[in-house]
Amino acid sequence: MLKLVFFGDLRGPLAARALAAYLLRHGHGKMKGMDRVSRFMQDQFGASVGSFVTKSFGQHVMVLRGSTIAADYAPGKSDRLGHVLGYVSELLSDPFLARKDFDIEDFDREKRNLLRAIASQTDNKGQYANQQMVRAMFGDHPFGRPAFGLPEEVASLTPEGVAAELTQFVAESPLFIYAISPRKTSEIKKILKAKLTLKSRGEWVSKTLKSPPIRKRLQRVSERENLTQGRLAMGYRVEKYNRRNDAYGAVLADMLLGGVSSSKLFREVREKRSLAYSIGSGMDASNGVCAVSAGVDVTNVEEVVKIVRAQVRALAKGRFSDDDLQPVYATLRKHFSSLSDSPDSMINFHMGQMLGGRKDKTASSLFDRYTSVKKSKIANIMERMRLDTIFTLSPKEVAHEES
Amino acid sequence: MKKAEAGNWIEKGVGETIHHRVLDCGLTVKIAVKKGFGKKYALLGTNYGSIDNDFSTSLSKKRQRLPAGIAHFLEHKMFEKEDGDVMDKLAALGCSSNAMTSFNHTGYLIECSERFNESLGILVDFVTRPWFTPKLVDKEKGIIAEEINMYRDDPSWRGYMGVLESLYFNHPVAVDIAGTVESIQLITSDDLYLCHRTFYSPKNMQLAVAGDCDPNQVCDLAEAIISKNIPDTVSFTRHQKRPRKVPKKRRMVENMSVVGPKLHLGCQFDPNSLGVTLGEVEMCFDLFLSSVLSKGTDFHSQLYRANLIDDSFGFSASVEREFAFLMLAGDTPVPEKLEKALMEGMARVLKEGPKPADLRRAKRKFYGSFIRGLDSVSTSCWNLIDCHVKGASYLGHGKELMKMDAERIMKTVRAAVGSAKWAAHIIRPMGQ
Repeated sequence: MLKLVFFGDLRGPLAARALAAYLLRHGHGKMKGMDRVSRFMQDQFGASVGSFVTKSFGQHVMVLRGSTIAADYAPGKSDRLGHVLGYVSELLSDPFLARKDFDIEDFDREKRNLLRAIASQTDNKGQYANQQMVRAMFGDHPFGRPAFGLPEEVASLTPEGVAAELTQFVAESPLFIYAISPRKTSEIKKILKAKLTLKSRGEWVSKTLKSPPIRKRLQRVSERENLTQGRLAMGYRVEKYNRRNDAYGAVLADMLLGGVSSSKLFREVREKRSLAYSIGSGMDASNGVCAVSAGVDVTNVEEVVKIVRAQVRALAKGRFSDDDLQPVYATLRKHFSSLSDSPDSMINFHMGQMLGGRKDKTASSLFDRYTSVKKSKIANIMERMRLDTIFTLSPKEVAHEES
Repeated sequence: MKKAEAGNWIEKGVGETIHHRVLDCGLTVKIAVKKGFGKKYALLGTNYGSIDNDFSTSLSKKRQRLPAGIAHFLEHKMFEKEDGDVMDKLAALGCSSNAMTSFNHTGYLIECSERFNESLGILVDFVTRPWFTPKLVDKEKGIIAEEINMYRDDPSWRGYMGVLESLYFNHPVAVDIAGTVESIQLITSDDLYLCHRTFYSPKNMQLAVAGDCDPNQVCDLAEAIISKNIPDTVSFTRHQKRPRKVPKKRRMVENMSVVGPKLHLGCQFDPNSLGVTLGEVEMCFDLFLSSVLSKGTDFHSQLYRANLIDDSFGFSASVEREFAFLMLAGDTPVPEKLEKALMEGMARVLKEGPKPADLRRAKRKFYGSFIRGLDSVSTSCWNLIDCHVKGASYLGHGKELMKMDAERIMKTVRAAVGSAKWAAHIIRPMGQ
């Protein structure tokens, strides 16, 4: 597997990068058009080269991911890695989208695809509730900007503008390259050097944006739609969050609260009170934002909010035992000890280390950092958790018709 | 493939070793030994799903007609025991657990990297030792009602079920796997005991394990626990109507809170009337659909260039012991136009068959997908069970599919869906 990860500022042209990721599917100057690219990939035993943008570690990230089966398992033991690397190299140095003969109809079609993808995010109501909560929480701050940009930004894009942004982004933005293969490291390095001709960018310097101040008064936002179930999204922020000092404790605090199946929220809201089928929390350890989300009957929303707040208060007062922490450590141990089973997990581990400015070379030394976090530190993180925004999506009547 | 004795053999190939066993208690066991893997995965399943709510057992003469959703309800309740929740016990060992119910199967799974034998013992024990109380059964109804409501709001699930409601209007495949908010209110703890006693017998179950483990230890452990928990086997007969060949409605329209229209289009067929194994039927449809509808084919390109489909377009063939159906689906600004184009296009490709180059690429794509699946302990377990149920070779899958030719594929495909009646379900935004 090969992964190229380009990092950009969240204040930059997000929509142009998102559309560029779509347009890269149309190949390069020597292999023009999506149909030809699809046929080429299928011929490489279902190899894939995909590109997408996302938000990660407080940055806008474009990922180019290629994978193919190892030569030992291909009929005839034919090598496929070289083919895929060659394709990626051409894609970055001579993307078809930057050529003059790129069909404007394909450009417009991909623009519509991106606009539809943005719009259809609202079809997944849980995801939509979380998105709206984050947007309400951060307002105009770049943290609140959607990874694909806004529809009006997409609508105004031109082929020349997107091509220029892609060329500049690929040439200048911080880039991490990961390759995982059964081959020897020296061999892989040799192939990468021969096939990927990219400009060196010097040392990585973290440029995470500063978070906006925490809201003094709780913000409540609600919307109504034609739904059966209500959706609740609660946004917490950790006051005076310092990634270097707080990240490990924040991850543990989140897992205790709602990150594992034996978490406080799962037990209290689902198992004890039967108020929800799904409830959980997720922590963005790069900026100390914790989102609690649940699908609940709308008449139970206030009760669930009360329980969540009570659980956060209880954890802040240190009301959790070693028994509560046991499944959290066990989950982390399982995760770290099986990293080598999955190329994606290995890549994410190394990327996290690099971006977090951590020095741990192995998963076991990173695991030790988690187990060395004191209970008082976890309680302290919870004590600094401030409920910033509550977003609720409530149902209206649903209509049916037959023809 | 080396056969040692009936039911027990070791299969080797593509760098894998699979141990096939049948235990004295009747349980079928499949173990993929993956040396050097950190993760271990186990899946204990029973051939019992949402369509099995009308049956007779050797326990009584009475025909049992139970509420819709009972198999899924039983799956939820198996985790709760006198001494607490099994999920918590497994979590304390660093083992994640889950369960899934489909139309005809219920599977319980665990995944861990340490203390595997302990976790496996808990899995086999909790799945084969029921414990229900009326109070706890009632408490679960609220949770499952919320799960049903959550799926009701999922437009893709609604479109999928909408087609099945038309195709299988006289058959339980038409009913949501979790049942309805009303049907689950009727479920009692006695019903759950009856279903467990009937369908959770070792002869009706399979255990699949993948990871760096000792096959003998796995088998000894399972045998000891099951022999203790399940003293005898109950025989049963399922009562199911045959699905009608003509759908109830050719087209249904439903309004939901979505940003744009969605089309689901499907047809059903009898997979047992084609003279080949279910595994081969599935392989034929996978290759056929992929070689005529994947990106890069003429048919896909025409639909895409006419702006009838986008990236959301997909297709699948579900081939099961009791039923089979095809499903084509995607977002589209003009669902009726897409429906017409798909129907005409399918008629054409059914007549002409795939182009040789498209079929060759489809085979290579599936071969790569098969090899990649071997790298995942979870995919390995699910595929081991699937191949067993469908009479397909697990490690031989790659070679089998590379051998398939257009004539063989089209013979099966045409016999199955050549004259099938299709049903469409359109979801439109509110007010359209």
